[in-house]
Amino acid sequence: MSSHPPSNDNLSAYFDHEVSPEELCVLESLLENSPEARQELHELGEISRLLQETATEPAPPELASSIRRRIEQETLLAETVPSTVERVPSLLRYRIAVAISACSSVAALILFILLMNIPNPSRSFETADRSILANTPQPDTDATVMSRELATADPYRVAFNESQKPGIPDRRLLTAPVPPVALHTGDSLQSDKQDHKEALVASKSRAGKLMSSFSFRNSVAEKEPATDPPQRAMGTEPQSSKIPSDIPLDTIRIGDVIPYFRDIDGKIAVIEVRVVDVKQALGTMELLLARNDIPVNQQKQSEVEDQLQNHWSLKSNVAGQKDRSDQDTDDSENELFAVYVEATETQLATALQDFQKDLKRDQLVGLALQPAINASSLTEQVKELPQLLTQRTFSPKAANATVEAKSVRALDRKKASVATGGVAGNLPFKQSTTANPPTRQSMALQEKRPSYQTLYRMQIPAEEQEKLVQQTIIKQPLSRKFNFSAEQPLVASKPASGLITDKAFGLNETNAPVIFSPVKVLLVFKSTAIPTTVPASH
Amino acid sequence: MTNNDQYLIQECLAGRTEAFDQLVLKYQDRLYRTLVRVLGSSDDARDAAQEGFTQAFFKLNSFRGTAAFYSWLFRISFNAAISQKRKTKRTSTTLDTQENPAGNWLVDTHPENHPPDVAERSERKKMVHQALNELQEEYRIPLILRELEGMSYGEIAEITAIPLGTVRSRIFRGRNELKQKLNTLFQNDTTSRVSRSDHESSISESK
Repeated sequence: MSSHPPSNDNLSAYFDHEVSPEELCVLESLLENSPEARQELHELGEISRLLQETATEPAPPELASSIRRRIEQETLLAETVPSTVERVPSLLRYRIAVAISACSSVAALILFILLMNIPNPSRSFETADRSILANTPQPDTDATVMSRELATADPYRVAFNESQKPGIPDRRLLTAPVPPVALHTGDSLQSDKQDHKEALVASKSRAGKLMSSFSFRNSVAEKEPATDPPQRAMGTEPQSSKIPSDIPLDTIRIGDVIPYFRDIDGKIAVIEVRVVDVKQALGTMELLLARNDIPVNQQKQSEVEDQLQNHWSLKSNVAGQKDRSDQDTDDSENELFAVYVEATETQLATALQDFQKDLKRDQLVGLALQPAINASSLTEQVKELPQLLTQRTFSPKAANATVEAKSVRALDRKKASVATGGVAGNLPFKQSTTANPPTRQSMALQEKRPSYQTLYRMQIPAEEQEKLVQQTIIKQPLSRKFNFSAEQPLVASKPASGLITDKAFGLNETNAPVIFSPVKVLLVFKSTAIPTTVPASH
Repeated sequence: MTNNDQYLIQECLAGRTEAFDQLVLKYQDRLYRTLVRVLGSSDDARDAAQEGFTQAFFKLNSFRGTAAFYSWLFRISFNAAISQKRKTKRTSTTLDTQENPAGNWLVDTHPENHPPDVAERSERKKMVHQALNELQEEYRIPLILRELEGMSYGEIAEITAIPLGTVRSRIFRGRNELKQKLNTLFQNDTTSRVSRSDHESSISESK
C-alpha cells in the first residue's frame, strides 16, 4: 500500500463515479501519467472489495420470528386482527394468563346465568332489579358524586370521582339515546338529578360472540355507608350483576353503549351499559409496559401478591364464619394479580396514554386499577398493603406525599380534562364539572369512607416530591400550584404536546425544571369472581 | 422493484400478511449487515431491523413503488436506527467488540457459506471489523452506505442530512483511514497478488 495518501478526494469520488465531467478529464489524464494515482485507485478498489467480502454474516435466526410477533402485537393493539400473540413465558405473563383465563371462565358462567334468567322483555322496565335498589344507599344531599362500579365481586372497580354537586347533570348522559319507553315513566326528570350508569364488561370469543365477563359500573349520587367501610372494601360482593332483559345480549358487540332505565329508590335513572373486552385490556397493559421500557419488579410483585392473597383469604374466612353462603366464592376466583413497576412519570404516562389510545378507550373499564397507595407503602409497609388497597388511611405525611396531577387544581382543571379526555370521554364515569374544591365537611366525610380510584394513579416518592416543591416554590407559593389531597386521584396524564412532566405537575407556566423522578406504581388486577347470588328471576 | 416484491406487497395489502414474511426473509440479511456496521452493535442492529420491518409493514399502503422496496425499507430502518441511537444516547460509537469479543456477529453460522479457506477469511473479517471499529462514526456511516448499499453521494447526503460535499470528503477520509488501519493486511494481500501476478506474467512471457 502506498504510504502517501492522495492529496484530495477526487480520486475517491472518481472511483464512485461521482465526479463532474471536468474533473473526469483531469483525473483520467492523471491516471494515465501517474503510477501512484493508479495505485491509489487500485487500493480503493481493494478496500471496497474487502468491505463487501467481509459483510456476509446473516441476520440472527430469531429476527424474522420477532418481526412477525411484533407485527402481530401491533396488529392486535390496532384491533384489526384479533390474534393470539405468541409470547415468551414469564411469571407476569403466566399470572395475567391465569387472570384472563379466570375472567373468561367466570364470564361465560355469568353469561349463562344471565341468559337463563332473561325475563319477558315486555316486563323489563317494570321489573327493575330490586336487589340493587335495596342495597343502593340514599342520595347524599351534600355530597360528592361517587362513581361506583358494581363489578362482579370486584370491589376494586369502585371509584370515587371528584365532587360534583347534585343537580348538575352529566351532559354526556343526557345526550345518550333514550328508548321510547322513557315516555312512560312519568318521572324522567329525575334522571337529570340522579345519573346512574353502568358498564358491561365482556370479552368476545373468537367467533365474535359475547361469552364473558360482565360487570356494572354505576355513576350515581348516593350516600356511602360510612359506618361500614370494610364491607365496602375488598370483601364486599357485588350487589347485582343482572342485566335488563331488553338488552340484546346476542347482538351486542364490544364498544356498544346501551342505555336503559332503572327505578332507583322511586326515582328513574338512566343507565348506560358499556361493553368492553377485559382480555384485551389486560394483555395490552402488559404489552404497553414493555413497549415503554417499564420494568416489572417481579420480586416486589410477588411479595405484594402474597400479601394481597393472604389478606383476601383471611377476609374470606371471616366472611365465611358469618355467612357460609359466601364461601361459594373460591379463593382462586378472587385471585389478585399485582403488577409492580418502577418507571418515570413520562414512561408511565406514555404507557397509559397509549393504553387509552390503543384500546380505543372503551376497554379501559375492563381494568381494575388499585386505589392509591403512597410511596412509603411500597417500600416499607407492604404488610399493610391490603388495607391500603381497601381503605385509604392517609396520614398527613402520606397526604403530603401525594401529588395530585390533575383534578385538584382548578387552574389546570381544563387542561387536565383535555389530557385525560380519552378516559373521561368514553368511560361511564361522571366527571366533575365544578371548579370548586370539595368542602371540608365533604372531605372529612370522605376520609371516613373507603375510597377507590378507577382512574390511574401515580405516586411520587416523598423525597422527590419535596424536591419538586422546593423547585416550584421559588416561582410561586406552593398553595397556588399544589393542593395536596389524599382524596384526589392521581392521573397519569400525558398532554398531547409531550411536555408530560411539566403539564402533569402544572409547572409549565412557571418554567420550572422538568423532573424525571422514578415513580413506583402498583397496579392490581383482580379476576372476576362468580357472583354469589343468582339474579332474581322475573 | 422486482415483480416478485410487487406481488408480495400486493398480497400483503390484500390481507395475506404471511407474504410479508417472504420480504423479511429476502432482505433481513442485507439489512442487518448494513445496520450492524452503521450502528456498531449487533443488538441495536437487530432492534433497528425489527423496527424497520414493522414500520414498513404498517406503512406498506403508502409505498408507491417508484423506488425499490429495499431502498424504501432501508430508509425506514435507517431512520429508526438513528432515532433509536439518539434515544438510547449510547456513548459508544464503536462496533461491539467488547460485547462480542470473538466477533461473533461476524461469524457466518451457515456452514454452506464457508469456503475452504474459512480460517483466512475469518481472520480477514476480524481485521476489517477491527478497522471499522476504530473508524469514527461520521466517516463510517457514509462509507458503509456507499460500499454496502451502493448509495449515491446524493442519496447519502439526503439520508444522513449532511451536505453533498461533506459526504464526498467523509467518504474519502473514511477510506483513507481504513486503508491506513488495514495497511498490514493490505500489504500482504497486495504482495501476494503482485507475486501471483508476476508469476502469471512470467508464465505468459515464457509461453
